[in-house]
Amino acid sequence: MKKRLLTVLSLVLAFSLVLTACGGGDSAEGNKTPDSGQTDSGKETTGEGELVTEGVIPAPDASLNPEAAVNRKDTAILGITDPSGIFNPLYAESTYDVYLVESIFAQLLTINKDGTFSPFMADYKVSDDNKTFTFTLKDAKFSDGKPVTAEDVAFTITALYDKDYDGPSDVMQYAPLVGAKEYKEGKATSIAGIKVIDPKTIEFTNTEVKVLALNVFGGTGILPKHVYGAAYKQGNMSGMKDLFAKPVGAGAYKLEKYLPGQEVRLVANENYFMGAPKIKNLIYKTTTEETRMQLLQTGETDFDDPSVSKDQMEEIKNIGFLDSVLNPTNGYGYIAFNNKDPKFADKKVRQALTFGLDRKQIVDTVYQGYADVVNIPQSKVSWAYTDEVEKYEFNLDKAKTLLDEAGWKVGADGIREKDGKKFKINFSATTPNVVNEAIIPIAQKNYKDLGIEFVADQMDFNAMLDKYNKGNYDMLFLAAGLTPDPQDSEGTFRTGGSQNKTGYSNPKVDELLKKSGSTLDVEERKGIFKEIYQQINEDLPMMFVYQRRDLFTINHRIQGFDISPYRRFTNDLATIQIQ
Amino acid sequence: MKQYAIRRILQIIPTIIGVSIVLFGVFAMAPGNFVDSKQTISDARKAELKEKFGLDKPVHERYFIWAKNTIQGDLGMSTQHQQPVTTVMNRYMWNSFIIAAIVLVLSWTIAIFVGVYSAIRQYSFFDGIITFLVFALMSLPSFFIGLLAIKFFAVDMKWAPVGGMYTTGSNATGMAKVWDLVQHMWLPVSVLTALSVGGLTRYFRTSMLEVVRQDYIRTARAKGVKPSTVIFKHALRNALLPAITLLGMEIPALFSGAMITEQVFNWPGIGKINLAALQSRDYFLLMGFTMFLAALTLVGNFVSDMLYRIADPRVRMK
Amino acid sequence: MAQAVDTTSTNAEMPKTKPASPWTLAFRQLRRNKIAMSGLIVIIMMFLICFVGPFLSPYSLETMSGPSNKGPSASHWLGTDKLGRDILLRVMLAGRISLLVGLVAMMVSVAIGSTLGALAGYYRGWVDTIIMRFADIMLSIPALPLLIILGAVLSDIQVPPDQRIYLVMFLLGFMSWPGLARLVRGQILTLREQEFMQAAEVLGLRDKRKIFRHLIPNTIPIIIVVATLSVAGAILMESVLSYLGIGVVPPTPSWGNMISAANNLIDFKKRPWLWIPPGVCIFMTVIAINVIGDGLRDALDPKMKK
Repeated sequence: MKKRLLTVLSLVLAFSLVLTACGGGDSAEGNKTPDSGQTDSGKETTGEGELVTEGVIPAPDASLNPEAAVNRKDTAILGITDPSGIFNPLYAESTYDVYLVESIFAQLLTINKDGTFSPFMADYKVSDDNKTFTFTLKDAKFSDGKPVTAEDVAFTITALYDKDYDGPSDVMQYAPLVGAKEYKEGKATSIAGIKVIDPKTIEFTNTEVKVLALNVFGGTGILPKHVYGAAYKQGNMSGMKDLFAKPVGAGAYKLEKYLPGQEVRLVANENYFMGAPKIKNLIYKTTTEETRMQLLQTGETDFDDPSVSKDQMEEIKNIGFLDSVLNPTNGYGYIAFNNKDPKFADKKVRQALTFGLDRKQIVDTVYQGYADVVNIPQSKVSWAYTDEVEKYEFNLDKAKTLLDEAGWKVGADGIREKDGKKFKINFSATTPNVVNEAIIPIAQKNYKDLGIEFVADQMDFNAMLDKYNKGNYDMLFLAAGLTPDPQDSEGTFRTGGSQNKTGYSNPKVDELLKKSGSTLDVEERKGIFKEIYQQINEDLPMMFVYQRRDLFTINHRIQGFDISPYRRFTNDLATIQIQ
Repeated sequence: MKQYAIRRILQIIPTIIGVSIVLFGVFAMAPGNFVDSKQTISDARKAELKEKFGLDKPVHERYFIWAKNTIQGDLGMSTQHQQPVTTVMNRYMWNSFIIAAIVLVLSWTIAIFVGVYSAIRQYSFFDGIITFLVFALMSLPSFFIGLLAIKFFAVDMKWAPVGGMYTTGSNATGMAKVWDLVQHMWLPVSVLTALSVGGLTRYFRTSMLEVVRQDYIRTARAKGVKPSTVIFKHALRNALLPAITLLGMEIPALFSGAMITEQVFNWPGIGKINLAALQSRDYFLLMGFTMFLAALTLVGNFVSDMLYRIADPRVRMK
Repeated sequence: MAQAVDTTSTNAEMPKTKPASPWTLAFRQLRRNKIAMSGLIVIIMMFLICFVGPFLSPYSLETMSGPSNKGPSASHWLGTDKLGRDILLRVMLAGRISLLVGLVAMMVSVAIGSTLGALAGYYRGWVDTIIMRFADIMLSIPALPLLIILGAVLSDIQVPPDQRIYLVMFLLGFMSWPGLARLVRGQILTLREQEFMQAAEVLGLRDKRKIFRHLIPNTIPIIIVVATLSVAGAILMESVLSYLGIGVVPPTPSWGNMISAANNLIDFKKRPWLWIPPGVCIFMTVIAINVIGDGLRDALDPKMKK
């Protein structure tokens, strides 16, 4: 039992990292997604079969590598979007700050390629009641040579529960430690649920079973108490912020120099407990979508994550010396229905609107084959994924029948009406967003054929989010991020869940989600999630649209990256090498 | 004159207070805030954070807190960077300033010469070509022009690096550092100058056209004054009068950063930071930076009014 | 600096007893200017094509029948965009929006800017203080956040999107007046001290007449420069406003949003039919306005011998 339990628990990914990255990434995703365009006018697409949209595509001709890159013998330059300079595991919020944090700090656990957790800086076990987690530290040192102790771990985790903590993690929700509330309110000077047993052993006890708790304990980079201790007193964390640009951790690299807006220079940590990294200097260089490819082409960067499109892939092929890694993005795009609006209350209407929209055309226009139409809120690489659901393939007749059944009859002017009200949809669209640019004209045309008026309203991302949060909308498009454990969808689909902005409520789904959260048997949970997804697929609180691809483009001279949708490239920094 | 100057300076105070009230109101009223946009935290945590940042207070209270702190020199913390607003501004603003200042000097110099030449050769072939170029550059999105320049000069010809301010990983100091900067800067500077010189040329051409037809210029010519002296000493001085007003309005642009430099040429400037601040509703950074620009606008306009009166003694103010 | 349009002496040469305004005279002059007239014809032709052309097209705004991203062909003269829509039809429909936006926004800006600038420069004192400090505030407040709020309000009160475009025209005009007002004011401050204004004073002309007949016509050259530059600016700015929900809504095209849809180097190199048509249209509009402006300026200048 315990072994299985551990396997399940280890499926979880560092929530504070992935979730926040996705939360902040929604707007960025819209801006980043590829522009359209197919191949040269002469060359017609000959079926999706020939298009390689997943896996590693090796460089066709590595000999084309420019001198600028070849001459850089002991340095790798990784292009990323500008980080904000928050180099602290407790505070980093944007994906790019997180990259830096993962390079400089080490966590107790690491993520495997399939999304499971493995021991890293510590071994761990979980008690029979699933509430207590015990970590045993290995021999590891911080970059300043001092050993990593249980006191450092206790210090780091305690800070997350402080009253003055204003970073992105919401630990009370995911890991309610015994005595955390008292500590937060100042009634206790330490958290009772954190016990340092000896310099190498630490124990965390929660008040209730939480599937995602291991993320907090195992997924947070450990701060050395002897460096950060002076900056944090209970109830006052302001000193931490002065240390953002002077991080000290136990990770593969240590910070040498931070030039805001330009580059972050790292050097190998000789004390790294997994052995010193093979590449001496690692530089994160700020790049922008406009010139990522040009920088790779001239050899000024060795690595970047340009947006995916057919044009882009062709460009990479032409450049010749770049390896590409294509992975399904760990997330999905959806069109939310306001379930509380009377016109969307009937699930037949929501089904009709899904049948009646050519999602394939939208997805193909935007992603040119580098995305799939999806019908459930889960990545196809997850263990919880199921294919046994309604596909909602574009079918106007079926949509019309469903609308008729729901009582929406075609009126004299061709617009459907019910109880004297015309069927009119106001679509809230964020801009500039390539997906919305395709959804609007296609939906307008498809829905007109159904006898529905579809009007789009453009706005900036926050204005749309404001409408979404307040339930003041008809339909809108958004992208959601996923974690390896499917339990994260609880907030979105449970009645009254904190991310449930559609107003969806189905007691059966609530019950099933509760069950999946308290059982830790993978096979059992698989069955439960199949039921959940089938129910959601039938109810359609939102219309699921696509899962796209992430692209990493790497100069062929750098070898050793092993990236998966769940395992970030930062895990390979100590083992990659220059050929 | 002195009295007018004092009065104008005193007027700046209520104006800047007015601007600050409007700005604070505008930012507060813009839909969404930096707490509600975090999609993964619970409502309880959101409430906690709002209380911590004072977002639960009414707008006018928040304004007075901000105003009080600002007067004491504390512009607050940027929520995005988790650093004091002044630190963030300092990190990026000077990079923007250096490139904008060079472009300003270059584009004004070129625009004056081209404008003058177009004016004295009005409707000539040269004038036609310049007019054509100016409007062609204006009708194309500037991003295209920047990207084309990179493609040609950086990727194909390798005459310049693709972007950035210094060579990545370079430890150069002193003259070597300056030379590195120059190598990175010449391409964006050229493109930006080409883009901004167009409109200015039109202003100078027009002003010059007016002046060269004046009686005193004819008189000077009739007296046998050298043509170049006529143009550059007598005519230009008068033709530059409207330029004073223009120059006053350009001062804030020196510090505001340009999106094309930063997005296309990867320059570590403040324009991108400001846009990101607006998108994430980073109130204190927005207030600090826009108030700084507003102050520059007011000062710029004040200075240009003063200069105008010095340059043209005929102007009398009531 | 600018020399006066000396109405008194001009009038003396005129046979009519009723004095013709400098505007009437200028228009007569303008009609004889061939280049300016050809500019005017280009503008009129573009209006005609944009408003009549779409009726002759076999496609409609919603048609997405063509292959996506194909170059010019017999069935699609200017090619198709990524959704397989006919570019020619879209350019014409876009012209209806962009031409109107560009011209109306320019006129609004010129009307407000030159009037307020002239009032401030002529009256000075507290009039100047109020107008110029208001202009200062306008110049100090960044447009983007204001527009975001406005977009949100419009969306909440559900203003039909097809009516919002009128708002864009006036908004764009309203946003850009302070710069022009400062320039005009500066010139008027100088002009009002010149001899011809003393003459006007002696003749006992009313303020309104002095401002609109004698002072503003002398600032026309600078107004024309600002006006021509602002037409192009307004056409391109429209797409930004539309993004914030204040302007046109897709699928309605405008030249600005057609150009910004093709915003990367790959489209630039491989698919010129996406950006050349709207780019050329903006260029032609701006050039035409410019030559009309030049003609108007020459026409208003009595010293111009041409």
